[in-house]
Amino acid sequence: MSDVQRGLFEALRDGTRLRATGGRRRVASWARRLAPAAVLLRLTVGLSYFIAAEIAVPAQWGASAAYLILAAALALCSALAPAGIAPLAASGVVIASWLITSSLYEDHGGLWIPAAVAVLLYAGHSTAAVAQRFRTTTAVDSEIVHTWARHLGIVSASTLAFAGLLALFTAYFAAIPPAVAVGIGLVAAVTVIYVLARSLHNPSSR
Amino acid sequence: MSLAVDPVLRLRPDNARAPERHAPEKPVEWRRTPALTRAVAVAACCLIAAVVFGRVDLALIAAPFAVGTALLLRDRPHRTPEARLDVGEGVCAEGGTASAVLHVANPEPVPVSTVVTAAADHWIDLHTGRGDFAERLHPSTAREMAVAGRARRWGGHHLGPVHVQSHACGGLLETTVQRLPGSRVWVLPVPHWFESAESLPFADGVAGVHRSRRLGDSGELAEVRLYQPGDRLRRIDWRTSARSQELYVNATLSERDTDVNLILDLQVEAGDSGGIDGAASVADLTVRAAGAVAAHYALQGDRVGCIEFGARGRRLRAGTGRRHNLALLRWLASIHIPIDALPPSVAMLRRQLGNHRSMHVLFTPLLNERSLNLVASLARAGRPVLCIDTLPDHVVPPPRSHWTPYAERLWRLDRANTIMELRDLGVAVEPWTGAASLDDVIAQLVRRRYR
Repeated sequence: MSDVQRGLFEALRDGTRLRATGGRRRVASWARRLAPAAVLLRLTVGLSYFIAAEIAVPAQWGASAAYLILAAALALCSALAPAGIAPLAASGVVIASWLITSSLYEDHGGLWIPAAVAVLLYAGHSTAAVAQRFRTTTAVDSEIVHTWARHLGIVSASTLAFAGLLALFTAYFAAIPPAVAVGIGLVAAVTVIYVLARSLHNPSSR
Repeated sequence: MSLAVDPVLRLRPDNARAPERHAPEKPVEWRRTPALTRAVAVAACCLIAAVVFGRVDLALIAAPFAVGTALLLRDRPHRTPEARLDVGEGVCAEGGTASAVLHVANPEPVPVSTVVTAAADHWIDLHTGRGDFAERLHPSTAREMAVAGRARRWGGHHLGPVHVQSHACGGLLETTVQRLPGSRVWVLPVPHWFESAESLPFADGVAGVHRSRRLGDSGELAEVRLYQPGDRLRRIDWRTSARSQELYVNATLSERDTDVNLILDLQVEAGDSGGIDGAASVADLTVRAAGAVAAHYALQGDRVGCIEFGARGRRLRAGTGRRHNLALLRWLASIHIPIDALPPSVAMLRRQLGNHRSMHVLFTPLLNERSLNLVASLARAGRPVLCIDTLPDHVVPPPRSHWTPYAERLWRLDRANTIMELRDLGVAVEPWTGAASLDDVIAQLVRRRYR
């Protein structure tokens, strides 16, 4: 049995001091073990979603405090928890913002802004996919980062090429009857969705 | 009847808690990640919206998700990578590197990334990039990865478990986490440097370095006596013979080895151990000092044995040489001082001390009555005892009230008196200060023996 005589205030003060000391030690240990590659990947996730959110809306929307806070919060959550729901929410918010603002503002349209948004969204998504199981202290092999960067480059280039193709043939698309366009679009969309949905099954269960 | 079906052994235990049943570990398998679900959801929603609203730009936003996912999922792995952990000998020195090798084999013709997260006891500081890292595995290859850390304190420390998770297709697929149980790594203490030029008393072995009381071949002159038949001619002292006109020979004392019994008082632990770089606790000082003394005498050719005066009461039989020294370090590394253990018996320990003519080196912090009784009883029995004080200088009682410093001062005075009483009893008590710190007290013991 201890003969320590302490009052409530002293006990609380001692507890707070102990917790603060432990916290400082943990932070120092974490800072010492921090891995630059894992942190940079998370930074890329956050920045990609934030820039995509800012590009997707006109300047007056992008500068408003409410939208800035929303975009920053989603980007921060995506960077902190890339395996969670935040990247999907950030993508949804960006796409919804683009849909709304491009409908409301005639001058905020075209193909190059959605192309940039698509590239940034995919950059955030693919980086989150790579970094989702890395901790901030995980030492990442440089080859993993190289493979990710190469893949992102290929997809970005193909997206920009697709945008260029669409820009070139805009007049031709306008000439297609609406019913035919809807039919072709529906078939293409269903095909793509079917192919992608097939990939969702568990590969080990074959 | 086998033990498994013995009805006595199948009785319900007298414990309110239900016995813990370990669920069988699930096999490692590939599964989709949230990223794959996200990619498919974004692409599908955008394409549906593009068709519904007639917006080409939404198809453009969906394009990288569809193209990227299709590109990544071209080659999908089916068999999971196989991982196993090899700890090897599982022995290292204090301050050295405790390591294990992780073998990961990728049987699929698809590149895979493996994330390894290792855990270890707090006395093992995992190296940066050696406890938490991600590596790339090329198609159909195997790789060895090191899980390593710096062992900061002697003892048996657990390295592991190691969690291995693999990813493929740019993070769209992942395996379930494979848990590889770790293993115990024995960290041997690094003894302080100790050297002593003094001979030990009671040298009565076969051959060694200590001067014995028996005559024999060596350089230590015992007497000059008259020649007797059988004496070697080279032992004739020609100067004395010429002076006295009779043949005289030089008789020498033989040099023999002796038994050294190390008694480790492990009843109480005091002070916080800071590992090899920090402050030493009583157990640290005891183990490192005992290792130093044992290494010196065992490598010199004396027979060194160890006995624990503690709850476990272990004993290491006497031996000599480099191999015995290693075994002794391993024995010291497995020292453990349990809290609230049963107190050891002085009489029991005395029964374990076989040879009455061996040198007893007792490492004790002299913190309780039982230790003092042991020292006093050994000294009264006529055994040569060398008592090494292993209470570190920095160990002070925790401040409990304003009386603590005065109480500590009184206690230290009382302890100093006790040490003086032990010295009066013929026990050499000396604080451990490393190399050559025991020469004076050993010389006193030898003088007392040959007086």
